[in-house]
Amino acid sequence: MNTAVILQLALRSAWSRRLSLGLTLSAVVLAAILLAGVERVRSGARTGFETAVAGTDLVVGARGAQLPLVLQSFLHLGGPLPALSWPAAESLARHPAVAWSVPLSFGDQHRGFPVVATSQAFFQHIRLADGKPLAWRGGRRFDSVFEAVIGADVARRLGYALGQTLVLSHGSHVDHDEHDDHDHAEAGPGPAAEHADKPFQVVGILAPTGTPLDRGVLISLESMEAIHLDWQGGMPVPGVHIAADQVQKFPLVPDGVSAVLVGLKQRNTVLAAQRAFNEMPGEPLTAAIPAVVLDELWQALSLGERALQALAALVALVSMAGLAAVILAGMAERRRELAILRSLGVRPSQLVCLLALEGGLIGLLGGLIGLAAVQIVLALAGGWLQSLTGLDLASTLPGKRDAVWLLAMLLTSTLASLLPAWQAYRWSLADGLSPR
Amino acid sequence: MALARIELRALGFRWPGAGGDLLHIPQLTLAAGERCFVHGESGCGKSTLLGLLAGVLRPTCGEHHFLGQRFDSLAESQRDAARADHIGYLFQQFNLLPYLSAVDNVMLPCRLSTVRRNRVLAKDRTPRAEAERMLAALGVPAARWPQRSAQLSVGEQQRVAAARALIGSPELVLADEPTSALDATRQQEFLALLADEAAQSGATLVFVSHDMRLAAGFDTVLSLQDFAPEVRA
Repeated sequence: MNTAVILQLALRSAWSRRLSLGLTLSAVVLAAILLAGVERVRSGARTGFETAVAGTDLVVGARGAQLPLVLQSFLHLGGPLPALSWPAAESLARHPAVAWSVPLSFGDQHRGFPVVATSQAFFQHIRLADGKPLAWRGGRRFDSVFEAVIGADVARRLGYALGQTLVLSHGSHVDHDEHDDHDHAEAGPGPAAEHADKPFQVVGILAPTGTPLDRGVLISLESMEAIHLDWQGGMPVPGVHIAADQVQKFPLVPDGVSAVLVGLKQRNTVLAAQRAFNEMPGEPLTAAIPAVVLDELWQALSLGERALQALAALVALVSMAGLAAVILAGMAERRRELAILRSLGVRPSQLVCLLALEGGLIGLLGGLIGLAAVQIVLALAGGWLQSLTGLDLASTLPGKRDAVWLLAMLLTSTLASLLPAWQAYRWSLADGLSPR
Repeated sequence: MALARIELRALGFRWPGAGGDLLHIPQLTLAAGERCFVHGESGCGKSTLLGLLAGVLRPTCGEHHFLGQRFDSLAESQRDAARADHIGYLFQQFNLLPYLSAVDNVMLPCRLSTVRRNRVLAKDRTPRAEAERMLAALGVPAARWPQRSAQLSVGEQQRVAAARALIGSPELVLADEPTSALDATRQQEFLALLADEAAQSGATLVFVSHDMRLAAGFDTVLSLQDFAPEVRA
């Protein structure tokens, strides 16, 4: 009974000091937002990327740098890749170490969402981090030209259902703005850079994966070839038009692809396979181990990441010092309150708990509010952030590291308020019942 | 004469590190319902005596009996509990928790002590009804009861504090110059009300003041000078 009453009094007391405590709380909340935000971006980037590359042992492209190859193939970020010839892709697929290969071709987009042209093998072999194959929200794989499978985000953001018709545009989504300018330059109805004459139909929608695949529009390599039959060098050939129902008369074999994802029969042969592909006779190729390239990327970024984390921790520490200062500054006023409680039989240890609890609760409350604010912002603006950064932050949930910093905040704030609590204890012994 | 409520024998107190005793009380016995005036200038151990009687301070030597029990040898937490149950305390001023209403301040002892709550319930009253009855008896207008204590006048605050010290009939009421913030006429009036209410609940009243004019009407008058040892610097 005693303890419950004292807690209730502590709440009333805190409420009567709500202005100064509220300001302190908002400082703590801001620190928590910073901590949670940094953590969310970090974990969102890592898990999203790692999920995306999980099932793939090697990615092979035309000779060039590894990083753009990995970024484009898995995250659909960056500029166009140099093409790898179709025969080279086929010889990769026949290599004895290779269990499966999936060719990818980029370069088109639909309303800002990247188009990924690939083969049926994509659905068969691509695995996410948990080893599960791609799940379907509805529909089926594409199996003829002008059929598209869309990612969960595309369906949600554009409100597309099965059977929806869509038109692809030429140019990657990254240089979207530039592409728009290009459209304007060629004024007139139906911009020339759109494949308006060969509309696609949505035949399948993938379940959310938490990877950039959610933002992808998947079509077959044949479809990609078909819409570019009457194109050359990124522009429609003037005076030539091949109607959609005529495309089947042409051999729809691509000249080349952007990259080939490779799964090995034995994962432990990955280094040997990488060397073999890099040195393959004929066309010069680059093979990259996506996990390794991402690791290197993290290492390059880790300095900035750590600086950001240190900054967030520093802000949190400053807000805790502020918390201690506010409680300490209010102590002189509360000296009498403490003496009154003492005269009513409240124990000194209970007074100490009261003050430590106040600080601890502000730390915890601030942390939870900050975390909730970050989750709400991500839930509301996650899609926009994703279109900006390619990171799927909306579906990242608070994890172990969040629990760790929340606990750290609770501890530091409790420790910070132990200083005023200790003063209260000393006073309660030195003053007796006569506050000075 | 009823059983002794308080008995002090050869009681001494000195602050840690001090050269000599601040207080030395050879013998003091207070009975139930007794009203005792303790006269003392400030700085001669008034607060210390009150702290000892309230069980916040522990005597350096001697015996302190309270309600037939050795009080000085009880653990601190037991003395804290005894204070909640059996002692009402009145400060000079600023007696009330500013974030509670007048009536909530009066009810506090009933919420912190089951003993005092049960004594009120035994009279077939709720703590709130009892608090309101006492506020009325002490002349606090009903309109003031729900107001936050910071909005009350000093006189009203002291009456609310008296009601809080007396609610649930504690055996001992300690008053530390509760009238010093009041003007002369209010002092006499407040003192009369306090003595009256204390008499009704049968409480032993220990009233400490530097103002001898208030001593009239008390059963016992003591001077702190009598308890100050010769050796005091």
